[in-house]
Amino acid sequence: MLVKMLPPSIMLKNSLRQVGSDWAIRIRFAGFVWSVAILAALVTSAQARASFDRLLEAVVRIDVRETSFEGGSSRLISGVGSGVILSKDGLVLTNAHVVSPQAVDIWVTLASLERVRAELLGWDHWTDLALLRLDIEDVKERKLRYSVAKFGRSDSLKPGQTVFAAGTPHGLSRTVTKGIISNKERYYRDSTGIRGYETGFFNTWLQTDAAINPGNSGGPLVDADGRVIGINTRTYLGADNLGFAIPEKTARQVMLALESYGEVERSYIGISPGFLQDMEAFYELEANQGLLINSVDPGSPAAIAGIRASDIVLSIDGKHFDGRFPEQIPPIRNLIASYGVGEEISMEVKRGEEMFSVVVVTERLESRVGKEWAFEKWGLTVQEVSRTFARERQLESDDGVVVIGTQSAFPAEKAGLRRGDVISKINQMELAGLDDLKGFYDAYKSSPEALLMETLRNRTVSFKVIKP
Amino acid sequence: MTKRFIRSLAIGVIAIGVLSSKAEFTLDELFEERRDSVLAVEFFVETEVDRRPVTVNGMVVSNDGVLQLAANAIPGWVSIDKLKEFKVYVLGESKAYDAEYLGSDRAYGWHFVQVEEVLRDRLKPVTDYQLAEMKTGQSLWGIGVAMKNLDFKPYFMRAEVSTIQLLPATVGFATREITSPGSILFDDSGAFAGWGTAPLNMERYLTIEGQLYQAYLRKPDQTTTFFVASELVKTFGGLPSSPDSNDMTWLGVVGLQTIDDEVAELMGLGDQAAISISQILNDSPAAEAGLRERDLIISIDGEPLKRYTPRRVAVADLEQQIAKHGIGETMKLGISRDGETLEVEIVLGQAPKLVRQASRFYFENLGFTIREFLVYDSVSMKLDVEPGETPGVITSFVKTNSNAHTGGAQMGDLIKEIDGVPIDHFDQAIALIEELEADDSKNEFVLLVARGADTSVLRIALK
Repeated sequence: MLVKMLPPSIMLKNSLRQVGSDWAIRIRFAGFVWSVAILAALVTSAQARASFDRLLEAVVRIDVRETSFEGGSSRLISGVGSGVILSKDGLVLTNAHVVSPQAVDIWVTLASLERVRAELLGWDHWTDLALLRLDIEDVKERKLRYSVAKFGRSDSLKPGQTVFAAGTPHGLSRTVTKGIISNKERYYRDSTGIRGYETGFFNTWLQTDAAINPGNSGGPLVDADGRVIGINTRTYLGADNLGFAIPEKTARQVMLALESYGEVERSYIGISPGFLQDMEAFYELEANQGLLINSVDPGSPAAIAGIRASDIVLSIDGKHFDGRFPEQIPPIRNLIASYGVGEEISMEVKRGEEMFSVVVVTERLESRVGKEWAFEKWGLTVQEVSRTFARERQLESDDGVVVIGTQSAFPAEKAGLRRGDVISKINQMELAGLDDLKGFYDAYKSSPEALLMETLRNRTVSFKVIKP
Repeated sequence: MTKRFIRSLAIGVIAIGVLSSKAEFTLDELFEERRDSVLAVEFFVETEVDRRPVTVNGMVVSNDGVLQLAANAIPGWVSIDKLKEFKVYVLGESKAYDAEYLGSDRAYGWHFVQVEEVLRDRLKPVTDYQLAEMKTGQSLWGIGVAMKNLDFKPYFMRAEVSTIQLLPATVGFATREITSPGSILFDDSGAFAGWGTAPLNMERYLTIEGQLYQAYLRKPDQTTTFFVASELVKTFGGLPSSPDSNDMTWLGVVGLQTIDDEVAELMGLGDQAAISISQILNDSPAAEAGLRERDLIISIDGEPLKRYTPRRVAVADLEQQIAKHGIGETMKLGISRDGETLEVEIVLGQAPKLVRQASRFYFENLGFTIREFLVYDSVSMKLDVEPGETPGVITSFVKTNSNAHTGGAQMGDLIKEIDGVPIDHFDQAIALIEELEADDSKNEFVLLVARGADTSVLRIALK
């Protein structure tokens, strides 16, 4: 604890001295035989060094300003993250929580200490990845130079293997830290992880003890040859060296989709898997087989097809799988998600003694966060009610908008609107969504008149008046 | 002659003095007499794994030793059979006397306790005293009650009336602490002035090492607020027939909200107070009488709804008025619906079972308690349950590190299925689990529980 509290300069001095004396000892006592061995090692390490240097030339710092609708008005917030250049024409991969579609300007600082603008090509909060493109005209005009990082293979990683993280922790540009792969298949799911958006449903994570701090986000995790095997994403704050990265396998697929379509389209059937862990005996299953259904969303494709909680799905289109442990679940979810929207999936289901097949028609997967907007004159920011949000809150429909912020002493706050209220009606008329509310707002702006809002909070209805 | 005159005059003066002091008691005399109108009450709340002692004050309200306790003296979720060993203490004495819990008043929630016979003659009911008239600024004195380790010693307190509010009970606020919660206060002539309520939270700011904190502070044993005696005595006498009798009436409406002045104005109600109804429960008196969701209540039994400050007090007023009616009695509600005014007659029904009246069963080996599903559960869980339908049983307790806990059971879970069998009856659930416990060939069983919007499959080890 004490060591951590020393100022950085002292820590730096100590560690330099250590390295220095280490070298002194080696040079003094190394005999002739050892010198040859060292020479050979130096040659291969020189090659590794060169490719590692290339990687470092591809790591960038990203400064973002984006619109936030949190506090009852739209304001700009800024953040710093990391990224890695993965193509000659300036594709930069980073985290979805570093650059979101609400970004208004994105500045990338290259390793050569030149700054260049970038635009967002695509975004996928489910895997926490975002893809940027550098302003390539500007790059050419200014003859800016950078190198292009190469992907390695996350599948062939071994726990214990040495890895490095490169990025901008706490704004400290071009920081490299070293560690090992601690675990290849960490399960981590967070349904509100990225500013209310879901993350971690479709991938497992690489866990490393290389120091990862806020600002490392979006930077690469690389092997000793500087090949990108993951994108650093999160860490347990307050824990020692528990860092997590999205594996290259996921990153590569998502990057491809984002470059082509700007998004990753996924399918949804509305099941939440449980972990079968040792329950095979109870369900009279062949060992290591099946997926336990913990929960089925009401009205979802799975519910319509007749799947119920505590059913066991034995196979998906004839494919059998093992869903006993948490880390086995994301690939199965990903398999379902990879079906086309509207496609039929046939599933073999076991319920008690009974076995039967169902056909589930997929729907498009949607995020729990709806469109956001600010109504400045009311001091009100809202979000459209999404299907997931409505289900979580047990609302009767996904109509309406939910209040995400009010500004103090503005009409919305004075009317008593609070974060979490769902606005369901205005002047006794049903409010379908954001566009309806924008209509009322425009009318209000041209001739301000009192508006009667009906709001819901925990099924309790309240009436609120917005007054000019 | 003069000497005799002076002597007789002196005797006369003394006589007058003695007489007047007999009519106007000194404060210490009044205090000595009135301390026997308050007793300390102690009991235990027994749970599956522990017993928690509770100490409150009660005021004597009848000649046969009945004490009245505050509505919050006993937590509402505790079932009657978990309230154990009622004892009372005369203030300032250490001897415990036995007492019996009689139940609670349906309209006001007061609890009643009766003390054993030997003590009854010593006690002075508050109904024996004159009632004080209450004026702002008037000086009052109260009886404070010390902690148990000081033998509940009574002590003298004094303050002035600061203000009196209708909330909807008539509540007095004193300039500073004036009595203990559940204890009583008087004016200087000894007339009964009030009954101490739970203390208010006082908002305070704390600065600790330069960091500002907002804090709410409350003295546990002293209060500044009290029910005004002249109105309070009108509520006396609501003794239930038995501790667990359920003669509560209900309307079957949920989510009552007073509407803001601006809303009332915009809806054309002017300055008439109104209460909006969010939800009407299936099969309830309100549903049968044709009340609709989003109706606005503007009058009760022909009386326009009172405009309280703060406005939301009107809801408590309505709830109290419903509770004052008996089962089968008719209540008339004036309703504003889509700009029209109408009057609806509602025959009040018996309220569904309360949480504290629900049947429970503790599985000691597994470490969890189930209780029957109540109408109120469908409201809090936002379930749309058909009349007469029971969607399962509720997990009301989970013992830490028990098999149930390790298996993932949580308090508040709705158990829908036990080992694949859908649960629609409380006794069925008990029988199923008992059967599983008795089955030597079984090592575990599976629960399907609903929790919020999701369900979960839990595996509980039997051994």
